[in-house]
Amino acid sequence: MIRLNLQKENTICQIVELEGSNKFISKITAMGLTNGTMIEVVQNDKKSPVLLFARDTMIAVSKEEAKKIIVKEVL
Amino acid sequence: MESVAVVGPVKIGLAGQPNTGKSTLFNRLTGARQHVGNWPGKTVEQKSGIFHFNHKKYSLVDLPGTYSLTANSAEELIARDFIISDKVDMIITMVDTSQLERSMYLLSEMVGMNVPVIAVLNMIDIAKEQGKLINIEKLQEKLGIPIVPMVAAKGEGVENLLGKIKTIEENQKILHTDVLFKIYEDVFKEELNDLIKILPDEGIGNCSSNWISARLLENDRQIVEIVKENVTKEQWEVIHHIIKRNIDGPLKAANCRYAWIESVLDGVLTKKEGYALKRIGFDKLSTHRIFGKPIAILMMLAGFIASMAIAMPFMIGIGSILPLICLNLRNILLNKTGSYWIASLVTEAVIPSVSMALLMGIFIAGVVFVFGFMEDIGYMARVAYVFDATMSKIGLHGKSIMPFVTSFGCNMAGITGSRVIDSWKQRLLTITTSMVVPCASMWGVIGLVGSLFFGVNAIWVIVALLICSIFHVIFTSWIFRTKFIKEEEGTGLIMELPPYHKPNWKGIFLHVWSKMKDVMKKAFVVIVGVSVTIWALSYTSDGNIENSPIYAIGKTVEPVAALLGLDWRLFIALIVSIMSKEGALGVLSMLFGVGTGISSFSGIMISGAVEFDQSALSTVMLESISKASALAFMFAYYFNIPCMAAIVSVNAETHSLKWTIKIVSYYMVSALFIGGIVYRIGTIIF
Repeated sequence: MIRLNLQKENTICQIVELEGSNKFISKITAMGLTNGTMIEVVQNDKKSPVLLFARDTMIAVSKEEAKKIIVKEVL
Repeated sequence: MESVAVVGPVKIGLAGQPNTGKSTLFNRLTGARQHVGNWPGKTVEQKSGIFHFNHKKYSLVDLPGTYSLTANSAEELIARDFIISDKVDMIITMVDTSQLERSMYLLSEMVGMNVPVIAVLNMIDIAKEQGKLINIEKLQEKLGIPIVPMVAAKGEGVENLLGKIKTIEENQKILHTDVLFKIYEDVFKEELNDLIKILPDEGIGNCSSNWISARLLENDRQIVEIVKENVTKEQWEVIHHIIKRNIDGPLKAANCRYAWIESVLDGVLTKKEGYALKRIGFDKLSTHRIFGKPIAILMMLAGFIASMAIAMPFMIGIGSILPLICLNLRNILLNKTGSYWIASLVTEAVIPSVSMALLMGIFIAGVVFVFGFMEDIGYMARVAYVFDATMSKIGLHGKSIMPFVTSFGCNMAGITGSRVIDSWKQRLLTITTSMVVPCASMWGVIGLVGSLFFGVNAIWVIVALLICSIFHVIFTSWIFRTKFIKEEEGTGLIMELPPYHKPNWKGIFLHVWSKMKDVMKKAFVVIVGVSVTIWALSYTSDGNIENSPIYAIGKTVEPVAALLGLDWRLFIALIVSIMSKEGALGVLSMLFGVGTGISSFSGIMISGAVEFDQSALSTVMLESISKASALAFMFAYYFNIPCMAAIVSVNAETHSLKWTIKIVSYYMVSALFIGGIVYRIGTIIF
């Protein structure tokens, strides 16, 4: 298990846990990311937000917010 | 529920997540019969319109595009309040079929609200291309509401929707609740049931007690307040206890809603296996680690040039005929009325300002067109992505880079361009801070005054100005964020990058048209008003400024201006230059008695028709102004509110007089303050 900000690009992961304030949880879940959601990490450059693809949607999540998403690699 | 009252138009709210094609449908239905303003008491923009079907009138309100209906942002609260209010007869919810699961989330939040709903499955064509097949009949049966498949961009499905609206008027349908409520119960267990028992059986307003209970368990602060008002003190204590005991409410509730979506789509949606994300080459480039930023800057500059190019023919046209018209009219008026002041008023204030307002409208139309296009095709989200890390350092959204870059050309473009930002707080913050950026037209004055007083060292003054600008932006962003706009502890970037798609020309042009009308209307009032006022204050029949009211004002405020290191003439030039930055030189020449050919400041400002001898101006200014004073003037001029056209743009974007006044006062006061400090420093240096 790893925090999303550290996850390598071009991998497929599953969300295990979401941490953070109610506001963060509301926002991230409304974008389609919740427990068990499968995500494809499309791009994860050092200084840019993480680009991921989940539920047919491409989403950018800043590194700070990505820290609160814990994933496990499945592929 | 009772059937819809026949008095007045049927009121429909249009809800949907961003990028679901909500505006496209809104434009299709209402055409040009739209009204843009703000939600009552809010700075969030409201679009409403009317349409007719079967000789009946319908009013349509475009709700803010939000991903959910929590109490976490002004936009979400507005959308939710509207849906549960008595002001609405039915809701149309847009769903993006190509992202069906995620896009149905908003619909899942409406389960348990006693409002008739029609769901529109937009972009059904793209879903088909992705290999998704939807059994509409079955979905309709499972949800209990009418479903309309649609391709809004092509107008497919709109007729069907109108038919469904008619049906629902006669036979109101609300979303089936049993499946979701069962899931809630399984997850929240007795806590949910205990809450339901305490709450009134019929719910509160348009919300069922089940819906309210789930919201309470999510600790939704607005619902908590509403419930508190509707129950007894003893009941509230029990409720409060349950809410406090419950943890992870928002996450559990979201999981419930996605579980509901899955269960609804089970047997309804069939997907072709192996569908994966496809990224076009440009998308990779536009989000590239190295190339992303330069590409974005180039696009911004190209965009600015393109907007200028749209306005240029009009500028050249009006610019070349205006002096001729004014000259001829002046002669006619002088001959007919024999009154010098009427001729001056008409040709130096009214006509030039009317044409200025006209040009402003055209320029804004260009800006809205070009940047509206970039937003519409989905590019702006990429810009936000590449600039997020940079801009978030000063509390701004990644998209605010665009207003900042274009402001170097013209602040009006920056202010108008801020509309690509979705949240009104972020938009207001960007409007405010982007006004620090110096526009192209002030460099002439800065360069001239700078080199006159400081020779080659003027370059250091300019460096100092630019460095101060950076601190100014940081400070302004901070003070507005924490003191005025009061942005609550927000979250970092979490943003959808919508797929690139073809521009919706009709939508863009409707938008351009409505913005241009709005700006021109406001510009006529403000620009003509200010011009005529300045004209009245500065008009003299003999060209001697000492005979004008503005001289008297200048002399009166001189002691105050002196505190700030400004000679009264510099002070007046500073104030009057709000009409237009480049006109400051002409005003200075009049004030220092070396300008001829015109009898009022407004004439100089908007037609630039003053003739003056630059070396004479230099000599007088050098004789009567100290270096410290000149430096103070340059700083105050540079940091002052850009110009009256920018003020009009602020008002047109915020739709708020209160915010316009706040922002304008902030810049005027802070410019004088900075000027004062620079003067003190100057007196030590020189």
